Amino acid sequence: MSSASPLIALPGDPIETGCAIRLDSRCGTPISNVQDKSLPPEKVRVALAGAKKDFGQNAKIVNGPSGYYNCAGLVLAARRTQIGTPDLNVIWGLLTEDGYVRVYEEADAEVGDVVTYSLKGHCEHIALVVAAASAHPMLGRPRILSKHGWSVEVVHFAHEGPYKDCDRSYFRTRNYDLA
Amino acid sequence: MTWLSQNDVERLGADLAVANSASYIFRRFRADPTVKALALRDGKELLEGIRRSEQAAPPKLEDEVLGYAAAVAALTSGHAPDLTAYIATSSGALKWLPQLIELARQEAGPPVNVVSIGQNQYQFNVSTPANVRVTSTSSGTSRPSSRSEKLVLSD
Repeated sequence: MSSASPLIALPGDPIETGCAIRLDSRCGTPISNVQDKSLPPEKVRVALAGAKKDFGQNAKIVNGPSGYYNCAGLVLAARRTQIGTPDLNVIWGLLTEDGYVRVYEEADAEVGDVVTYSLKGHCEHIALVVAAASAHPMLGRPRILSKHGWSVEVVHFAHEGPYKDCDRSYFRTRNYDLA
Repeated sequence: MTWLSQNDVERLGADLAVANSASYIFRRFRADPTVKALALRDGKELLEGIRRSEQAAPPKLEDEVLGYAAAVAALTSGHAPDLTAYIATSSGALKWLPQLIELARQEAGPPVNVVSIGQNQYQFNVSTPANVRVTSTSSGTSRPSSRSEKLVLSD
């Protein structure tokens, strides 16, 4: 990226949209992405109002709206950029290249696992598990950290939120055994 | 263009805010009563709405909401081919537009054309968009006939 397009826009910098950064999977597969640095106040306002409506009292908003990254950008790019998630196979392929394996039971999901939300073969959302289901035995659902579109970051139960009707699948990186 | 009230913009804008994919927008917008009402409008009107939305400078939330609402309305009311043709001149301001069109295409299934001639129905697949035109029809016999009709595929 040229010096005219800094990764982090400072106050007073011209507003830029549509910038991409270099991003690859562990295996070197390029991941297309885009940053939207421009987020008008009206979008921030609508996002905050919608978030309060979408999530119940169990949820906790932990960060405000941002156009820099979306859900996949949070999980796969450390909040650096937005990653499109049109096809479930693409996202599952990326997770596989990054060393993730499937966790078949929601009850077995652990902190740090990734959850994908899908409908009819389309990946609609992806998030990080921040509390295992066993931590909330009454509900038996994990809590997750989500970022939705340009909206907020929020911690909520996996079965709540705007994507609650989607199918959930869990993944975990397969590192060396702790033992 | 006052197709949407402030409430519409707030409601649909909140959906846009949490949209991680075109499929979410397609699913939410097509179920919205306001978008359903927009789908009753003329296809040219809807395309004009999309064009104005994309040309708005600076783009506002209401422009973006209107653009996507008009696009989903067009796609759910039989104007997908018009929107597909429009994409060639699109500014790209509505980033989900190509994927919305693809979703509508996938939902419609393989490109199958069905033509009814008298009491007969003719169904065939085409690999590229084509207009099917009947140049002559049978004289109304109730028995299927394979020789009395002539179908012409034209680009």
